[in-house]
Amino acid sequence: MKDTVKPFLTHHEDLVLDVQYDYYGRQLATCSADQHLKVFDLDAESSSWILNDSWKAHDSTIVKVDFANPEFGHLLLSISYDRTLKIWEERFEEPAGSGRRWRRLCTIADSHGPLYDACFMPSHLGLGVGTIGSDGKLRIYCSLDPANLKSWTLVHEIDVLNSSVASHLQSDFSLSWCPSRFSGEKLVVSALDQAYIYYKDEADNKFHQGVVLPEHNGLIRSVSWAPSMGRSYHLIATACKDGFMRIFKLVEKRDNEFEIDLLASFNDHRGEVWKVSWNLTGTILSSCGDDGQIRLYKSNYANNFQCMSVISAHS
Amino acid sequence: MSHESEKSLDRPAERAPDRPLSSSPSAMFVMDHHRRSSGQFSRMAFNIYGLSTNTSPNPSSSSVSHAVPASSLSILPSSASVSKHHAESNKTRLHTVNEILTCAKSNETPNLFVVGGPKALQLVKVAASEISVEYDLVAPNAGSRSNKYGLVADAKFGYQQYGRNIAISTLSGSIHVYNLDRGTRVRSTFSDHQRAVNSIDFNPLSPHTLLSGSQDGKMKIWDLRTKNTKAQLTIRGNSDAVRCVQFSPRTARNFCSIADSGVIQKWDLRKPSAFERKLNAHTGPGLTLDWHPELDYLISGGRDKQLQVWNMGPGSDHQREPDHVINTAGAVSKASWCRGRGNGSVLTTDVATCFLNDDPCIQIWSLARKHVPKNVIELHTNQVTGLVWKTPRYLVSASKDKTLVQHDVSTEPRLVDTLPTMAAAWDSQAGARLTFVSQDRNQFEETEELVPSEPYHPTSPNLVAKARPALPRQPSQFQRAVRSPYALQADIPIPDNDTDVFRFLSSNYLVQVPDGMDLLQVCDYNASVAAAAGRYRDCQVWKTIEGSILWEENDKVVQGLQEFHLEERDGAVRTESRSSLNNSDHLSTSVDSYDGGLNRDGRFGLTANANENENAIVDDDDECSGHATRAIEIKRASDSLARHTFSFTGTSVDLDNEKLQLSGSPHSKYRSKKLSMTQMASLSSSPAKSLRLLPKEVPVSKEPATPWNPVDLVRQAAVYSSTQGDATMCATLALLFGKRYPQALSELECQDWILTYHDLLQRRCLFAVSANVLKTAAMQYELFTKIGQSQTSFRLFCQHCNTPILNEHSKNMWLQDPEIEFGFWYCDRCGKTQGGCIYCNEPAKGACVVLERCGHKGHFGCLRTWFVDNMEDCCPGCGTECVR
Repeated sequence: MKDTVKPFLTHHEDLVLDVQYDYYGRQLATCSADQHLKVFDLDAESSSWILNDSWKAHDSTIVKVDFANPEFGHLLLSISYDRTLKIWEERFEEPAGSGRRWRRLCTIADSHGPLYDACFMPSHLGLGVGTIGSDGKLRIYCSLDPANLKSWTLVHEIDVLNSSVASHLQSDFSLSWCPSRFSGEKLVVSALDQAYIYYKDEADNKFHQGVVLPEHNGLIRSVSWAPSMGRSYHLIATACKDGFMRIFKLVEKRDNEFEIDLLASFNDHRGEVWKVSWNLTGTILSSCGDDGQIRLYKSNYANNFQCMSVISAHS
Repeated sequence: MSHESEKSLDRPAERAPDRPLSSSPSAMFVMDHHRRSSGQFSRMAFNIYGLSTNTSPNPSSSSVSHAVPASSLSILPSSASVSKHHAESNKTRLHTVNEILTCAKSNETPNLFVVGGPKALQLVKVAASEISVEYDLVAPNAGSRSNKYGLVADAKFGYQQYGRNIAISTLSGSIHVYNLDRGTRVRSTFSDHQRAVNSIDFNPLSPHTLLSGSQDGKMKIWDLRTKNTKAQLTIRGNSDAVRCVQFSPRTARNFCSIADSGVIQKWDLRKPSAFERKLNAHTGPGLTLDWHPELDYLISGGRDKQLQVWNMGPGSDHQREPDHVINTAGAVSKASWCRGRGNGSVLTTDVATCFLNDDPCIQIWSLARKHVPKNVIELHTNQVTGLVWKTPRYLVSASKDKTLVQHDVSTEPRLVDTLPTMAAAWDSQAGARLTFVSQDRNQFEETEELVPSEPYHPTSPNLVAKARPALPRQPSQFQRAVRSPYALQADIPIPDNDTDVFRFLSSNYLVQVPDGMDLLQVCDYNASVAAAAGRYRDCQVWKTIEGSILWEENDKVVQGLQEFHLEERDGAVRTESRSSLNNSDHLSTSVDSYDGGLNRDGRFGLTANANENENAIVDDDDECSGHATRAIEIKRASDSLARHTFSFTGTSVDLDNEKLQLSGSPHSKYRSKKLSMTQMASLSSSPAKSLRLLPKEVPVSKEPATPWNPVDLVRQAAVYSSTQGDATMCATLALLFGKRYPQALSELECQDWILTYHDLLQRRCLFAVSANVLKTAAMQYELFTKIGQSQTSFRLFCQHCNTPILNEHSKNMWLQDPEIEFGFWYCDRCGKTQGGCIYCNEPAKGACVVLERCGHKGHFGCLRTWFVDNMEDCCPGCGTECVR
């Protein structure tokens, strides 16, 4: 595993919009505006990615893929601007590259507008998916019967926006689950230029809106909740069209009260920030900008985040 | 297109208010003359607000209209009562009373449109800044006379001398032709079709010819010159309903039709008995087609959600595949080439489409980019039914939401610009590896350059070609040169990123105190593991912790001596607070007593200077064979106080972010004890911060805390490691010291670290280690007992029927009657027992041992006899070597 994987052609015919590793880091899924999903297998010997399968999964731009925790099976979700959420399962009996290797388990088309983000729940909460689309509704689906992954139940439907987005305006939505097992079920949801914490109140088993993540001056492109790594507080990063990447500190008080602080904000990309994501231990934050660079941020011991490196691709 | 030409195209629109129907003022006059007593021709120019006053209660409309004598204009019962303008900068909107089912543009009169709805037909003027109803051909609320039409299916304007003619077709199967010069009276009615007439078209080159296509599968040609209401020609395609017909804009004798079978047929009027060319285009009903205004191309759309572009030029007759295919999100109900731009390439001609599904958006596609529409325009709240390019800049759309909208397309943002150009993901296995895709937004635009097609590999070169047969493609076809994005992988050069080191450390660290060792030995052992892995800092941390535990243990012995030593301090440290004196003393005394002799000046320290790390470790490696008590080097440091460096503070400076420089050099900081103590305070600011944030404050021990007491050391080491993302260290510390020093590490932290570590181990498939971690953690925390019990599962597959052995049936029986034997050594489904013990061949019920290499299982006792007593090294069943 020492040798790095060489750059490889994805053979997508349009923008690749999301890349995800599976739990073991042995598969890589890419989704693209060309309506195709591709899954690559890591060949350990040559340490290269070999196409597992490629298939037309949606009728429009696919914006997000995500692997489920393997304890639930070999599942992949994809969402698209065609308003559907699809869940796929790998069938090992089908040959690689046949276009049939991933079977669609279900299609969920509840949204009244394009879907923008979806994530599997952290595995300790069970098998579930949160989605948000341009109708401004956060929907949470659960698979209540592990024997039948084709049936998904809409468990929660929450209006994040009071009304649908004005059609002529650009919009963006994003969500990220709180990965900590020691904290209640909660997630951060961004809708247009607002981001909120939603938490599940054990008393009535419903999601409620918590604090607002302040200071955004444009569409929020991406939110990411950091793995807790023993911290007594949470870290949430947001990427915003206003050019800033922000890191927030969320402290849980008693009874679902939250206190939010802006820890740091960076506009190093000198342009729109598209995506933020934390590494597995929640210690390094990556941000992708319109300048084609990835910046990595890490906090020093005094909790000051600093840019530790800049990655860019040269062809 | 240039701005200049755009302007010139728009100019008629600007002129329009003066003469609304500029091509035929006389016509208006005639109408005026007949129908209207006041006869003031110029009043026709009034905008729609005037017309609206009669019926509209809308105050804003009436306020505009007060200048106009409303009565003078009420020549016709106008349906424009709700026409209203929106102040949206790039669009103009007209609200009508009825749903709009079709709309068409006049070919000869600029800005004149016809809008057809159920029982209504209106002439509409679409000017640059407003849309107004000219007059009603069929008023929506005019009694029974107009009801004969039923629903309008299609409407078209004629060309040239027939430019003032409008033909409409209805779902009831009739076609009505109006001549605008003759007012609202129907010029002629054709009702030969048996069923709904879905589509009609005038021939642009032979303007008296009208074509109709009907649900009854027939297409008919009508001649407007004759009074005859019989069709001049009837063409039978096949039995399929014809959805759309259109004359070729270049040859008067050709037209195309698309039918419910998805087939496009090209016809020649000279040979009406058989089609000239047949294209098996769509799988499922074809819904629309449109000839390219300048080039020999045809675009078609169907229920199969595809847009197809066909080359209709000479020499393309053999072609069976479309030149371009665009997969859209919905059944394509209308597709329309952008007209008037004239730049001579299909790749650069925009196509506006609308859909049959519940998404009332309009998409504009450019063939240069087949996957992402150029624009997605949301104008309507209900299905879009009409789509007409007024100019290349203005698109007019009609919808069932009762609006007609003119939209300035040039102001629309490109959809591609709202998509990110980068995608990145952290490797879920390696510590700091990132895969990302960096791409240029425009790299996917096709250009005119075509490269001859290679044998078509739709996927990756990694795939062997034979795995997927190359699609047969026409030699005339080309594969477009589109640069596919690369995925790149970046390894972040930080120490945690080494998978091998992680594996080594996690497999070798002791996470509990095994029999025959004590905690000190475990620390020492872990230090040697860290050293072997090249993790010298971690090694030093372990050693330091070991030393401090040692001190803690010995401290009790020498407590009584403290006071005595305090008296003996030298002058340099007299100014210090008592506690700090105490602290330093603790160290010296403990070290002294450990060394066995009492040293008078008490200048002993733990040398953990980073510079000396390597030496120290080399020493350790030599003597690391298990006896831990001697491992920490105690050096005599009597010469200067500067030698008093405390590794934990040192480490936290040294180990922390290299970029962070504390003011002043470390050396000066440690010059005196006093400084080192203040330093200590400042350095601990970060852990202190996190401490403060803990829900439950870490209780401070009653004794004055010394910097090197193990509680603080363990805490610092763990907190530091957690900020570095070193889950191995955190979790190992938590497992070893979590219960021993509860004031150092809170339960929550420990559990979180262990969970993270466990998760990482699982991700890296180090299942044995993770099981061990889980086992150890389960002894300390309830949570892990639960995880261990609920998340560890084995599935056995029946060796006969190859299905999972569930045995639910017999389990239920067993639950009712515990006398029944229950287990997983048989299969309910096929009723057979699984293979027995590999040694004695009895059924292996209950706990048994499975050989990892070959999968054979056996009783524990049997296998012990085989391997231990008989000293065999291979499986008793298959001979696979199991013991090495």
